[in-house]
Amino acid sequence: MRNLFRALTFSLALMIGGCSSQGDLTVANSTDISTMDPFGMFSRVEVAFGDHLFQSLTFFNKDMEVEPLLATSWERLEGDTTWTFQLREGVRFHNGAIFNAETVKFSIESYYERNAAGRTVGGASVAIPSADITRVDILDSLRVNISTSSPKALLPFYLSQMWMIDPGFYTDASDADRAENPVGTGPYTVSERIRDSHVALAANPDYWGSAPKAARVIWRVIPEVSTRIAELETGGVHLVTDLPFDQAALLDDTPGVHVARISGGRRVMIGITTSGGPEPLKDKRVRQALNYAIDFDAISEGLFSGQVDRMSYMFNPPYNHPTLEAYNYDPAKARKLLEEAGYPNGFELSSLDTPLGKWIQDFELAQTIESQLADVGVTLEKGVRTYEWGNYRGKLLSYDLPGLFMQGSGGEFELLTEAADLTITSPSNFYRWENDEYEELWDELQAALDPDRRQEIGYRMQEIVHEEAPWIFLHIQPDVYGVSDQIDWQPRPDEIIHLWDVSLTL
Amino acid sequence: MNDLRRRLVRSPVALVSVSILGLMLLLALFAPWVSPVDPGAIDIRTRLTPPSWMDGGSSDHVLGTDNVGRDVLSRIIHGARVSLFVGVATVLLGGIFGSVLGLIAGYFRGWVETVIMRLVDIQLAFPSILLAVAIMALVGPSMMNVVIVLSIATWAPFCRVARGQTLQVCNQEYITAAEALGLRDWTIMWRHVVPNIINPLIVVASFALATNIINEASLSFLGVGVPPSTPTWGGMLGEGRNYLRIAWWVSTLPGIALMLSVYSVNMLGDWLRDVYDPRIGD
Repeated sequence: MRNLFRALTFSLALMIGGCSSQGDLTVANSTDISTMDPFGMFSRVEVAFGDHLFQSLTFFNKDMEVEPLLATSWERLEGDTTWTFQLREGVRFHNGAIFNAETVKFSIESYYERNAAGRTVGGASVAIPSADITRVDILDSLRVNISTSSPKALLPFYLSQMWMIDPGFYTDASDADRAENPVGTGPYTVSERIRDSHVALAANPDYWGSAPKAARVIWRVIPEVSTRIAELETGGVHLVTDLPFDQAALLDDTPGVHVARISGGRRVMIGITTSGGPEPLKDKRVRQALNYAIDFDAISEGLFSGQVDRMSYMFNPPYNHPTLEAYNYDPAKARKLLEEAGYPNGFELSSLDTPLGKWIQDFELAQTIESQLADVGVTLEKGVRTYEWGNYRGKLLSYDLPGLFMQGSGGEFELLTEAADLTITSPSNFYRWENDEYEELWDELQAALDPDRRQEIGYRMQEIVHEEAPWIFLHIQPDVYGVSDQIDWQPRPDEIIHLWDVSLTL
Repeated sequence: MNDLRRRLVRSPVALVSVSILGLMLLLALFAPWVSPVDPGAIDIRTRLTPPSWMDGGSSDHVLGTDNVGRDVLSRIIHGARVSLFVGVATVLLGGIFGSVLGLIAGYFRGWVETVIMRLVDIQLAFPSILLAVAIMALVGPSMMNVVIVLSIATWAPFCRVARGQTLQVCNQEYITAAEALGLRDWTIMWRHVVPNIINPLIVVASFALATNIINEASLSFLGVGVPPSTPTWGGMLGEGRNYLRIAWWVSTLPGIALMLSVYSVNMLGDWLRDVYDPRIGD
C-alpha cells in the first residue's frame, strides 16, 4: 500500500513538474500590441515585440552597440556614401521563402516608398529620413551595395531599425493581412492573438540561429498596475513593466520575485502647443513661466522617494548637456514672466490631457501640475482630461491635443534620432515648434562625421530647447520592472525587452 | 404626518437610516464650512498619509490623504454633495416626467397609452447603466450630463407604477362621481387621482434614489461621470483602487460612505413600503 502511495505521489510530482517546465514565459505590459504590421509597430513595446518576429541587417544590442544580424559584415567604400553588406546564408522567412539580396532591396525600398507617400513606417520613422538611402544595388545573391545621399557614419545603426520582410507576402498583402499575419525571419512566430488581451509567440522551428530558450512567450496587456503586480506575485506572469515606486516597494518583500530598477532614457514632459494652439502659449516667456511654476522637488519626494531629479537636458547620455541647469521652482519669477508677456492675472486653458497608465503615474503627475500651475494663475477650464492610450496616441499623432499634454519620449541613446523629434518635419514634433537655428543645426548634424562637432551641435540644440521651452521639463522616467526569480533577465536602458535568450526555470 | 412620525420612532432601523441620511444631508449642505480643508488642495509631498489613528498618521488629515495628497475626509464630505444632488435631482426629473406620462397613459387610455407604454418597454429593454455609460462616453463628463443621462434611465419604472395605480383609481366610484359632476379631466387628475397614487410613487422614488446614487458612483468610477476635478465617492473609489494594497483608506472610506447612504435609503424605502401598504397593518 505504501509503495502504491509513493508511486502515486511520484507520478503526480512528475505530472506537475512536467506541466510547469513547459510553462510559458509571460510578460505583462500596460498597453496592447495594436498591430503586427512591420510598418505600423511604433511604440517601444511594439518595436520590442516586433524584434521577436522580424530582424534587420544589424542589431542594436543591450550595450547600445551595433552588431551583425542578417548581415554578417559590412564595409564602407571610397567616397563614404556607399557601403557593401555581406548577407547571412541559409536564412528563411516563416513562410519558407529565402532571405537574400532581393529581399534587402525590396524591404528598404518599401520603407522609402511608404515614407515618401506619407504612410506609417513604424519604428523606422526617424531612421529613414536620417539615413536617406538613395539606392540599393544587388551585387550577387548575398551581397548588396547601399548608397546614401551624403556620408552617413551611422548607417549600420539606422539599418538596425529597418526590418527585412518577405517580398512574396508583402508585395500584395492587404492592410488587414499585414496587421494579423507577420512574416519575418525572427526566432518566434505568432500562434495566437486576442486583441486587448495577449499575443502568444511560439519558437520558430526553422530558425537560422540557435533556438530561443523559451518555447512559448506570451505578451499580455494588463493596464492596471495593481493587477500586474498581483499577477506577478501569483506566478501568472514573469515580468511586469512600468511599476510606480510605491507599488514596487511591495515587491521588495515578496519572496520569489525581485525588482529591477534602471535609469531609463524616456524623457517625460508636459508638451506645449507652441503654434496653432492657444494664444498665450506662443510666447516663450509664458512657456518659461510654466516651467518656473513647477515644484519638482515636491513631485520627486511624493512620487519617486526623492530619487529623481528634474530634467535639465533633452538628449540622453553621452550627448546630454553637462552644464545646463534645470528650471528651478520660482513662482515669483513665473508671475513676473507672465506679467511681461501681458498676462498679469494669468490665463485659462482648456485642459491638461494625459493617457491613463501609459507613463509611470501620469495621472498623479498631471493632477499635481494642474494645481501647481493654478498657483501662478494658469487655470484649466476642464481640468485634467484622461484618455485610453490607443485613443491618446491617435490624438497625439494628429496634433489633436492643443494646449498642454503629457508626453514621454522614448530614449534611443542616439543623438540623431533624439534630435530629429524637434525638427519641423518630424511626425513626433507634437509641439509644432519651429526654430530656424535648430533647423540649421539639424541639417549640419545629419552630415557631420566628426564626433566633437556632433557633440557641440547637440549641446547647442539643447541650449535652444531649454531657452525656448516647447515643453514643461519634468524628468527622465525611472524604469522599474517586477521580475520573477524564475527568469534571468536584465533591463535595458531603452525599455526594449528581448526574451529569446531568457529561459524559464523552476 | 403625525402618524408617520409616531411609526418612525417605533422603528429603530428606520430611525437609524433617517439619522444617517440626515447627517449626510447636513454634511452636503454645509460642506464648505464643515470640511477641514479644501478638498481639491493637492500636496504631493504628503500623499498616502494614513488615517490619524495609524502609524505615520497625522492629525491634519483625520482620514488620511489620497494618491496626490488630498484630504480624504474633506473629499468624502464634498462627495456627499454630488451623490445626494445627483440622486435627488435625477429622481425628481425622471420621477416627475415618468409619473406624469404614466398618469396620462392610465387616465386617457387608447393610443396614447399604447405609445407611452411601448416607449417604457423600449426603455426597460436597455440595461440602464450600459445605456448611461454609452451616452456619457459620447457627450463627455459633466455634472449636468450625468443628471440628464440618469434621469433618462429612471423615468420608466415611475411611468409603469403611475399607470397601474391610475387604472386602479379610475375604477373607483368617486372618479365616476367627479366625471358626472362635469369636472374637467385635468382637475380630476390633479385633485382626485394624484393624491391617491402618490404613496407608491414615493416608495419607487426611494429605490430609484439608491440606484441612482450607485449609478452615479459607477459612472464616476469608470471615469465617464462627473469630471475628476470634482470630488465624488465613485471617483475616489476609482482613483484609489490601484492603491488598495498600500493605502486601503483611499478607496475603502468613500466606499463605506457610499454603502451607508445606499443602505439607509433602501431601509427607509422598505419601511415606507410597509407603512403605505394597507395589507400590513400595525
